[in-house]
Amino acid sequence: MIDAVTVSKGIAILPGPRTSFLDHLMPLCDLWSIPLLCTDEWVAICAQTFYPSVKIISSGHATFQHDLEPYHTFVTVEPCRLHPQALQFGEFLYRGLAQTIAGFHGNPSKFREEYWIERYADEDTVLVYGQYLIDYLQEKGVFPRLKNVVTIGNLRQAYYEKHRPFFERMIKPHLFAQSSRKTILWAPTWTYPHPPSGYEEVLDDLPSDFQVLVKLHPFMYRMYPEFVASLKEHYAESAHVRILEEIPLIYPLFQQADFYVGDASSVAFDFLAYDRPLFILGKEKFPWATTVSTPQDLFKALQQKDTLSEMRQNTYRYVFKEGAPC
Amino acid sequence: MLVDLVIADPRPYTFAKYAMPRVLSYLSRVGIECRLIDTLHDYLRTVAARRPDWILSFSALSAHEKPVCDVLKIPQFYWLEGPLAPAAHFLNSQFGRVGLSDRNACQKYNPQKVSYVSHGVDLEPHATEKVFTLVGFVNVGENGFPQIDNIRIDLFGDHVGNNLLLNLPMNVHLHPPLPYQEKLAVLKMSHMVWLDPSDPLYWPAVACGCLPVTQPFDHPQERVKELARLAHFLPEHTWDKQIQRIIESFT
Repeated sequence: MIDAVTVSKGIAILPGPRTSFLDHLMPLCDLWSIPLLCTDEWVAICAQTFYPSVKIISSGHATFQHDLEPYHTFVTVEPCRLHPQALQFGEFLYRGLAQTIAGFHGNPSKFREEYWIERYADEDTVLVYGQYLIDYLQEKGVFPRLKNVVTIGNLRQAYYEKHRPFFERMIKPHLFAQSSRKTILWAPTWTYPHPPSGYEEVLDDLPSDFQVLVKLHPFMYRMYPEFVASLKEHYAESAHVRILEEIPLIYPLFQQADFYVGDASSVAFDFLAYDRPLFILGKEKFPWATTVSTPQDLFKALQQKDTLSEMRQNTYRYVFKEGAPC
Repeated sequence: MLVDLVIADPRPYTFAKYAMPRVLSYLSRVGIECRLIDTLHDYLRTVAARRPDWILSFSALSAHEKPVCDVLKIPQFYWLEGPLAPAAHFLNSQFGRVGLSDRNACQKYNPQKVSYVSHGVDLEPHATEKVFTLVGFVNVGENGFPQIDNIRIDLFGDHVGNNLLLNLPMNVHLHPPLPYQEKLAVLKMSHMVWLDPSDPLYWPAVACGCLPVTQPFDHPQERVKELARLAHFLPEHTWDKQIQRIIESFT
């Protein structure tokens, strides 16, 4: 359990512009009373705005070795050792001046055939959400190499519940006014080299008893700012479609959502916490979600009886070992 | 004499970024005027105003798929970081020549087009604590790697493959690839590195106090002795010596 972890002179590290990592790191910062070091101005602004209890150290430098010197424990939500964007970690780690605590930024569902989770093999402590990740690490031959594995459960949700009144205040301006319509949270993924297409097919033909919160992948704001701006402008006056700003919060949005629509994303695993229907728009199939290939199929499926509750609950228990303290 | 030093690559920590200040320093010390160029587009627009005697670069420099040196009709020396294969097409250029750090490979080519130029070394003394026993810069899944049971092996590279760790011995540890300057930092922290004399990092490794090996030395004393033997050759591999070779190739 996470309360078995001792953090001496710790600092959380988030190099680069990945705002979505904040919601994974900040509960750890809060729990262990450690600051966050970030290098991107927008990440620093989001951190200060949405997680005011955590001290933010905004380095502003690509190399931040100097900022790390007072600390002995580096906390990340990605592999930390000799991270390609933070090579200066190496000097500390290989000389035994610091230890690493490396978590994940969501339960992985993609890239299973690729070499990536292996990069956790040399971390001092690895934080996993539950049995799903442990089995994944076993399958890849990483688990036998790990020195210390700690199961943290759904710490993010626990953190959200602890600060719920604050988060509800913060999310309110981004939401619809009170409505009798059912709310869909649509979290489409990012694509490269072109932005995904087909937004209008989903949003313009929406049945009249639904409204949609569109949470774009954070990469979209960086890779395709003009596309995102035009999408926002197109739906700016819509009463039933809301293109959300780039904010790191996710559980306050789940709270508002009756349905999740998305793809093979870790956010789908997170939404299992609410035992509400999930729809995968695409080809990927999961026993706890309904896969639909077209927007028309989605609209039909949304009206059908939900029969997957038991499967969702079982999967949630497998993915997140319960009982995380906060 | 005027020499243009061209880096048309914005990436940090590259061989070019490490080497260029040393090139600039030496040329200045021997009284050769140089210009540092970091944007090829601007260079092509302005070079006619004052043409250099030759160009030194760390990439082929192409414009519309033609070597820039042939378009401008200015001799160019392309100092390669690694093997020739990716740059072999450059040998067809009329005004281009390359510098290669593999002495044996150089012998297969026209000496007018290919010169032996090793990566330079700095002779500054350093006393970095050794934390790695044996390191290697290989892509596991694509290249072979040392398979030795009794010592820890740390391999830095762009590893590929599904379930790569399942069949990897427990004493082998994989790390992400490193840019040039970070490789030097790791060499300073290492007792031995897995590479042979044809590797561009061979002499830089020796200068970093790291013994290049293809079979590990069991006894530390032997290792120290061998490293001391190789260190005698380092003065022949300084940056100054390499850059002087390039100058001589044009005279």
